[in-house]
Amino acid sequence: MSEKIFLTYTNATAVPYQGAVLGHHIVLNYIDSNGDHHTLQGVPEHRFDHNIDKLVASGREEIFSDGANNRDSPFQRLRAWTDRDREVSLNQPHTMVAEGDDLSARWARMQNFADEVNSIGYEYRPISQNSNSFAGAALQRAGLYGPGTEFPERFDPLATV
Amino acid sequence: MTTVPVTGQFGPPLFSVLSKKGVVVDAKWPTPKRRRLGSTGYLAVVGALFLCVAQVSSARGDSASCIAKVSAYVAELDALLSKERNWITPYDDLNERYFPFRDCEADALLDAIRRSSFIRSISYGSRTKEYLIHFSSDEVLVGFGYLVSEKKSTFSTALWVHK
Repeated sequence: MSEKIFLTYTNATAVPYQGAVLGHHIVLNYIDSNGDHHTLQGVPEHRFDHNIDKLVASGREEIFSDGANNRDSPFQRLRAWTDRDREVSLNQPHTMVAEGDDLSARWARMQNFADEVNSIGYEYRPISQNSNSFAGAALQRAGLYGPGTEFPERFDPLATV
Repeated sequence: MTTVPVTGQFGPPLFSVLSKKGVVVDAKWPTPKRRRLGSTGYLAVVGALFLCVAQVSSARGDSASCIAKVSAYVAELDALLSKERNWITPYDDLNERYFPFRDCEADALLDAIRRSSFIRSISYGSRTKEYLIHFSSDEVLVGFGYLVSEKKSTFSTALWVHK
């Protein structure tokens, strides 16, 4: 069975009280030769119940914080989590990144990157250092590219919490 | 859907050559002559039987302590899932305190986790002989894997249902 690495997307944030989607959250997916479905994603340590709260917090971090303090993000740290499941659906919107007989080494490199992120403790920044830049950097670590040979977003390894 | 061509990124399939297991042919235990067991021999047999029984008892004890640990985890997880919806750290801490699980009998482990009010799914991979277990509130998803034959958990995770 051919192995696959691909990206899926969920709605990350929307216009308060109106609902138009402002951003998507990228999840890294890997289907191994056993058919097992692995996922890897970066998430903020703290989440907000309402879009308006999230937007206010985003403004505090991205506009009013000068970036010198790496512990002042309302979202706190960026955490990387892996998960596994047996329900695989390729019917949802996705971007295929790689197909091959054995992609386990690539996936292992992405997981190593996730371990590094967790051990170092990076501040979550809703625009400049978020789940999508985590996905981009994980792909880069594995020697892979997103759509159009570009990484989704760059990850700044210098900004640590 | 956008498919990114990856021509040239991957080499040809990797093949591994498995070596044959060494098989000892025509090996025989040295049996010079049959002897009746003396008193020392009987003592040795009784001692060996005692050790076997002790090992079985110990294995059951390990499973019981493992199940007690899983039950305590489920109770704490249920309490957390019913109140914590904005911080992932408490789930992180909980998993760090309880994992890994070792030596649980699979059926007893499943009984313990089915007592959770937040159990979402239990799936089984026949090839890997692994259970994947997920709990979920409206906001948080928590999961772990458990290898039946090796009697140990493989990973634990905590994620937002909606980021």
